[in-house]
Order: sequence, then structure tokens, then C-alpha cells
Amino acid sequence: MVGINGLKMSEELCLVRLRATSRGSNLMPAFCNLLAGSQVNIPFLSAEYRAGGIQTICCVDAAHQPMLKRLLNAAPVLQERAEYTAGVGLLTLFPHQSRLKLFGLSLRTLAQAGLRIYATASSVGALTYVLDYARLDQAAAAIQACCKLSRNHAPFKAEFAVAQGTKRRPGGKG
Amino acid sequence: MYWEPEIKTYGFQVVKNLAFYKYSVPADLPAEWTRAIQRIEDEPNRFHLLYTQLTTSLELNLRLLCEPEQGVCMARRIAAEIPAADDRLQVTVPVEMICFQGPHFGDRFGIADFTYQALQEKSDLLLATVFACHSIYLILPEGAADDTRTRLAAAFRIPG
Repeated sequence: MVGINGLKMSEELCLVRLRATSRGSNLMPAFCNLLAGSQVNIPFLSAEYRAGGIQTICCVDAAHQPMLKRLLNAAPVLQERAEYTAGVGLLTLFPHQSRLKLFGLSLRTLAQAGLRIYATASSVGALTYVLDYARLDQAAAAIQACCKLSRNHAPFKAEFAVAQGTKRRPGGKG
Repeated sequence: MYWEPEIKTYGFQVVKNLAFYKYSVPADLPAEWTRAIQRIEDEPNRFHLLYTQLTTSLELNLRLLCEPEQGVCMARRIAAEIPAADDRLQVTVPVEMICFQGPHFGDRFGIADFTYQALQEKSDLLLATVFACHSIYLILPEGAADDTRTRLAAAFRIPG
């Protein structure tokens, strides 16, 4: 059994898949700029660039989906290339220790449980899966059955969210 | 609420001479792929980055950035289990990686935009980007990392 120190579940998110058939479309800078301008955070993003184009998977807060659709509708170049999947969430396991053991074991476990894995990415210490939000608890239970979670730890959801301020200090001098 | 006048990072890690392995795996992970993945789990190999993307045709694009010799070993193990696996494999070597993190990067809007703005036309060189948790990874072709790092270092603030 692989030992892990933590298992974290996100709030409900919306997955956005962006595709372009050529690299020269400036797709990602334009997309990220649009989201930043509307103060929309991107908690997960992976983009792959090939000679044949770009394939991107990113997640935004579920509450931002209608606004995002409106924004992209106003930018036809982006709208034509966007597909949405509502109701996804992130399951983050840590630490992976840069070894394939945790990845292989968790990937096999989630696939064998019949869970759809939309995306995965490692970060410095953690491994994040994008899964159906409605099945995050099932996914966490499956991981707990094959990994040994440190004593006194349980799967958790963040109790607060850090928001990016736009002023020097809220309520203070701008 | 978190705000900073210039976006901070804890510094940039540049790693060169890496191998970028790209497998296309059936998303339902058939038994032979399950066995193949199981075979590589216990190897002492270390990765720098891994990510997957599910395609609309239900293929799981599995990507692994690692030291070239470790990638060869992994691919050999997979091919031992699935002789046709090499048909589903593309390897790009050598490639370079830039990795950096910052406070609450995963919780703040505008970090990806700031990164792409800093890169300017260098973003045309990217092979892949991953923003997950508080980390950002850029995969670049050979010879591109140093100049890209210079661009980033000019935009982000590195305390101390």
C-alpha cells in the first residue's frame, strides 16, 4: 500500500476544452486574457501544442460557466473552439514523491472503479485528477482503499477560498 | 483576499536534456495497459512532470517528462507487456522544462494570463504548459529555456 499524506476535493467546476487546428491562432494568450479580465480563476489548465494545433483542458468555477459562455460568444474565434463539460471536480493526492507508484496505482484504481478521468497533472508535490464532481466521494473512497492515508487525516474540501484582490488592501488605500 | 503589486514566484527551475514521452492509451484502460502500468510502478524511475488529457475520441493522452535513460527503461517495460505499444508512442528528445511556483497561484485569477504576457512571442515555442495547484510547468524545445526564463524573470518578482 502506498502512503499518502492527504486527499483534497475541490468545489464543483466546469471543464472547458479548447482546440485549434493550427498553432498560429494566439488561442491560449487570448483565452487567458479574457478570463483574467473578468477575474475568473483557472485552477487547472493543461495545454499541448503540436504541429497540427493545440489541445487544452482547463477548469473554472462552475458558477462562472454562464459568464464564460457569454465572454466566448463575444469572441467568435474562441467560441468556435470551446466545448464545455459541466459538473467536474478536482481530486488532489499528495505527495507523489516524483515516483510513478502513486500515479500508476491511482490511475488503475480510478479506471477500475469506472470513473471517467478527464485529465491529470502533477505539480511539485501533488497529483490532481479531474473527475465527475458527483463521483468525487466515490473516487476518494477508492483511493483510500488502495492507499494508506496518514493518521488523523481524512479527505477534505477547502473550507475557505483565497481570492485575488484588485486593490492594495481591501478597504484601504487603492 | 490576497493582493501583491508584482506577482511573486519562489524562483525558476530549469531542467534540460529531458525526454517527453507521449502515449495514447484507451481511456477504459484495458487489462494489458493496466498490467503495463503496474509493471512500471515499482521501477525507481522519477518523473519531472506527468499529465493526461482525455480526448473526444476517448483516448487518454498520457504524457511523461523524465530523464531520457529512465524513459527508455519505462518504454521497454511497457513494450514487453504490449508489443504494439510503440505504435501509440511518440518521443521528443531532448526537451527543456521551466517550473515555478508562487503564493496561492492556483487560487488567483490572472496568473496564466500574466505568464503568457511575459512570454510574448516565445509562447509560439511551447510544447506544453501545465498549471496545477500552485505550480506552472513549461515544456520547451532544446535551446529555448534560458531565454524564456529571462523573459519570465523580468516579469515576475523573486523575493530576496
